[in-house]
Amino acid sequence: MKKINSDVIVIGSGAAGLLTSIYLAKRGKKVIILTKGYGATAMSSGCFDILGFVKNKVLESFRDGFNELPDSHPYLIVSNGDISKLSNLMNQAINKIDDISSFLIGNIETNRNVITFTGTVKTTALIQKCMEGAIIEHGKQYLLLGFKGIYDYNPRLQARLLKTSAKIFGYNDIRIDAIRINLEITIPSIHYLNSILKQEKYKRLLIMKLEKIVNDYSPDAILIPAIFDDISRIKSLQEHAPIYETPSPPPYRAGIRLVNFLWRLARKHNVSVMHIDDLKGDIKGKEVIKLVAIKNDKEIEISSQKYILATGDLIGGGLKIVLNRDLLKKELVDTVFNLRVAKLDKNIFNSDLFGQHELNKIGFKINELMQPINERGAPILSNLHVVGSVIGGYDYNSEKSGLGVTLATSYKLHEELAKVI
Amino acid sequence: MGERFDVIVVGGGITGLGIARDLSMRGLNLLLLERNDVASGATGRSHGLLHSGARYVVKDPESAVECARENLILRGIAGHVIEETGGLFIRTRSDPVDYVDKFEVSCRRTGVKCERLTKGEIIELEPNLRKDNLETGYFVNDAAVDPFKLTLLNMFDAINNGASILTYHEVVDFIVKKNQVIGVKVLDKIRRASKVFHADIIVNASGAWSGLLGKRLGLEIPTKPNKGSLIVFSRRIFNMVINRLRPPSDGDIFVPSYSTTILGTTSIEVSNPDDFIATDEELLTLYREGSELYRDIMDTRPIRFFAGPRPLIGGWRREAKRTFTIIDHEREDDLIGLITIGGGKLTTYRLMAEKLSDIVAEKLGVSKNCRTHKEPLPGYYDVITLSKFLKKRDVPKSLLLRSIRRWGDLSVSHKLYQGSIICFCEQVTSEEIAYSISKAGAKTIGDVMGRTRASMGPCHGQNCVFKIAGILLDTYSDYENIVEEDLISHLRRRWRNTVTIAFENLAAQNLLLVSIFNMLGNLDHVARFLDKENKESTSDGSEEN
Ligand SMILES: Cc1cc2nc3c(=O)[nH]c(=O)nc-3n(C[C@H](O)[C@H](O)[C@H](O)COP(=O)(O)OP(=O)(O)OC[C@H]3O[C@@H](n4cnc5c(N)ncnc54)[C@H](O)[C@@H]3O)c2cc1C
Ligand SMILES: Cc1cc2nc3c(=O)[nH]c(=O)nc-3n(C[C@H](O)[C@H](O)[C@H](O)COP(=O)(O)OP(=O)(O)OC[C@H]3O[C@@H](n4cnc5c(N)ncnc54)[C@H](O)[C@@H]3O)c2cc1C
Ligand SMILES: Cc1cc2nc3c(=O)[nH]c(=O)nc-3n(C[C@H](O)[C@H](O)[C@H](O)COP(=O)(O)OP(=O)(O)OC[C@H]3O[C@@H](n4cnc5c(N)ncnc54)[C@H](O)[C@@H]3O)c2cc1C
Repeated sequence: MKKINSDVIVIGSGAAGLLTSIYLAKRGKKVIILTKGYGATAMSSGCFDILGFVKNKVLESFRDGFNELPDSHPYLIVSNGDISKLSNLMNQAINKIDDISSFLIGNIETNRNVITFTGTVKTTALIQKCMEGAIIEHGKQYLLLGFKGIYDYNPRLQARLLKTSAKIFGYNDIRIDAIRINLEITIPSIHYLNSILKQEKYKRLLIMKLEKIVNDYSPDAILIPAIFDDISRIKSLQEHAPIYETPSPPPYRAGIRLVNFLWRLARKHNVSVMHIDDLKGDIKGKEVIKLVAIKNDKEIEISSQKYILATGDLIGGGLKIVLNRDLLKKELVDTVFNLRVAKLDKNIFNSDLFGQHELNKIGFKINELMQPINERGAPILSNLHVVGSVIGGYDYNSEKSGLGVTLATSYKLHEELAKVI
Repeated sequence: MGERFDVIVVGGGITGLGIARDLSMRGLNLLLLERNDVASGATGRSHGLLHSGARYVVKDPESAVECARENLILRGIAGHVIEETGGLFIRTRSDPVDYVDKFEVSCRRTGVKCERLTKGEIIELEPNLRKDNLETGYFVNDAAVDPFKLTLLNMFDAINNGASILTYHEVVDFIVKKNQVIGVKVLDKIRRASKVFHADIIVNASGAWSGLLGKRLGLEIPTKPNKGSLIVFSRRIFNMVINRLRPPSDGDIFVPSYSTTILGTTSIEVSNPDDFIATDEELLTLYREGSELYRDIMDTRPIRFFAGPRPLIGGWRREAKRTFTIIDHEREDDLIGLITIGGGKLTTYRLMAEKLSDIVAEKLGVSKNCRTHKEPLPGYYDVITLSKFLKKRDVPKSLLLRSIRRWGDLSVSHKLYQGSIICFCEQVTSEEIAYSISKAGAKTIGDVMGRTRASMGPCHGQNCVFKIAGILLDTYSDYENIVEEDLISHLRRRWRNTVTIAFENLAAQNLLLVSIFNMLGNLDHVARFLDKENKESTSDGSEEN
């Protein structure tokens, strides 16, 4: 059997796994990422939410809601309840990402309200550069652009929801137009637009139509979902018209672009990556002994001083709810070590789709060293740490804090580990 | 003064639409009013089992005979929405031995066909059955029927015969003159308008809600809403209907349905027919019982868990039949112009409609007889036409077959297999969705789902609800009135009935739905706002009163 050794092993390659690896590698540590499948980061809008809502109130900055967070919140744990510590931590975390300003604009202190692919308005903090024009501002004129024959989104529907959302957020004075242009080609779905618009003929046609739109409507921003695989493509269109993208989930590419951006950085700093088919953790007493990975039907043993679980929540694949066949009871376990993560209170399932979700709050309880702890507050395993959304105690859906928590916990963990490795 | 009809039917379940078809075929001018969509009550929440009768042979032979007869008739008129799966009755080790003889004797007595099979034959037919738990079994004439489509086809035919069907029209009160009901007051839920309609006879076919409706007239209709819950699994576990060979009880039937399998059911008396949330206890009961027949049930991915209210009517004084009940309020309560129908089954809806229509026809002096058992429902196709059609080269066969399976001949005549694919899980095209809106009366995302199966797949519409809403906005002008409300309530309903079965992959799928709409879309903020607005407008209303 093949055996591998490293300073740190990071399991999972979402924002949490990649950021932690990058930070550690930049400090000269040898890091291996083991990963399988896609995580939530790739499905996100690729904009960093820090904290948008507390108790249903829209916040202008995370500072306005900090005092109302529950004690279990990772923001409180990483900062020891000190708001300026959290602010420092997150500012450093952003600054340590090389070249971040080529990709994201904004800062962690100020929230922005951005028009999304559905026409709703999203409260977030750091947004992808190509989405700048989607920030909602008083008196502006937005033109929502669709393509004939494409059903993936409908600019009329988007306009309708934008009107409602603008009212809710107090932007009654914006102007909204919705039009569909005809690219004179049958496009089965929006996926294809990325490659079709690589052809000179269609790109030129699009530019022509955009110029006409500018002429006829003179909008402040023409908005489309994140269609392009690379932001340079939208930049080249911006020479002809004020066209911007909106935060949008798959099949759009905003989240994937964030993942790709972080991948490039990780490679630049010599993080090694192993894509595996399956992974089992081996525990003895209160310690992780090794990991056994399966790749192409072969077993590989991997061991290190420290193990970091960055496998995400139920969506990312790090946690799962199983039906215990003997007890006919549902349990929450992690997918690598099969640790019981939390009790599942029955009320967890009695929620409305919109609003707070107990289900979304479940995950590992942690201490300030980012170790998973048991009910008595003691570390479950001495050499295991967790980062990102595999941690529980907060509800990123209703708070809008997903990538913010990932950022804060990754940076905090790297600081702790740099001290001991 | 509202519009006048010969007959008004309240309730757009299979019973109501069966009546609408029957009476309009007899030449009566009929209006049907349904508060939500057609088949949104018990009908769209049933197991979809076209009973052979075998389930009832021991306990309720009269029902069994009715089922057996109607089963054959429906195969003749609605073969295109029925999958002839056949059925098995399986005795497992935990089922009573003495039921086997009773079953066989009762089948013979009632004329319900059954054939005893050896263990080997059973395993050959259904290799997924638990071999270690299997004792004996019988083959019967069970089949799977699509209750949404069956209802819809009755609606099409009623409309072809001149009937008017109004969905999202809730009957809120009756208009009574002396001892005669002469009309109804109705709320149009989409245009938010009040309306009045008059008729000589009003039929209360509101299923589990018939008692509530009766209360408006001070009538005591002994409706006993009875909740049953079902789990939909994401693949075909069995290709036949599988029943337990024992007296009917919880969790003892698997029915294949399209690419899924449905396990049910439970039976719990509830006081409020709208209270049909499937609970955790029911879920575990179904799993426990289901695992007696299928060992890997824990590892099979569920897509949905839902409940429906059986419209049982109990203890009525002079039951027209034991199996279903028709109450002529003229005879029972000295109230002219109102008839209530309840009880029964999906399988026997046509017979129920026939009996009720006979009474109405007699009262109105119409001499035409029932023809619903003779004339096939719209979209009926025969195998030869189908095979000719399948030779067409230009369309993927899988898409064609799915479309034909959903619409029969209508798919061919309206080219429903064309256009862009809107729902990838269920392979539903833009043409099919446009058709279901413009020709089949869909007014909401949920209506489109019921007609096309779009957004019924494992992703719960996370990719297609916005596409469908967009098409609705483009093709149905009244949709302007309800856009946000519909999106939000549709997503809420989709979520509600899946969250209880949230484990394994499904939990992730579920949360993804939450994340996409709450997190990315910030739709929770919109929902909160609308909820608040609604609350304010209703409390304003009550202050005025
Ligand atoms: C639809 C959606 C939209 C969102 N939008 C936003 C947004 O706009 N802004 C925002 O700030 N946040 C958003 N979030 C939240 C945010 O995406 C997450 O909080 C964040 O990405 C979590 O990052 P993570 O690295 O902890 O987990 P993930 O990104 O889920 O990464 C987990 C990684 O672990 C791997 N993995 C899982 N299990 C195993 C295993 N057993 N073995 C090996 N590898 C494994 C996965 O493949 C993946 O690579 C959104 C979330 C969703 C679902
Ligand atoms: C869990 C379950 C499983 C079942 N399985 C099977 C099976 O496998 N095979 C079988 O043959 N039968 C089965 N049945 C029975 C079958 O579903 C019902 O007998 C049948 O669907 C009843 O149809 P209905 O039209 O009478 O009632 P419903 O379908 O309930 O229709 C009544 C309609 O009236 C409407 N309504 C109520 N109040 C008003 C109002 N004020 N104004 C306007 N409209 C109103 C409701 O919205 C509803 O749509 C099952 C039932 C349940 C609950
Ligand atoms: C034979 C069969 C096969 C099925 N196969 C699948 C499948 O493959 N995949 C799948 O996901 N599901 C499947 N289902 C389940 C189906 O999608 C619904 O879950 C089921 O019909 C119950 O509806 P619901 O979940 O919307 O209702 P609920 O969420 O229970 O909603 C009930 C509430 O909504 C109200 N309501 C009901 N209808 C409307 C309406 N039209 N407008 C406004 N309010 C309304 C009711 O009054 C009630 O208050 C199947 C059902 C059947 C009968």
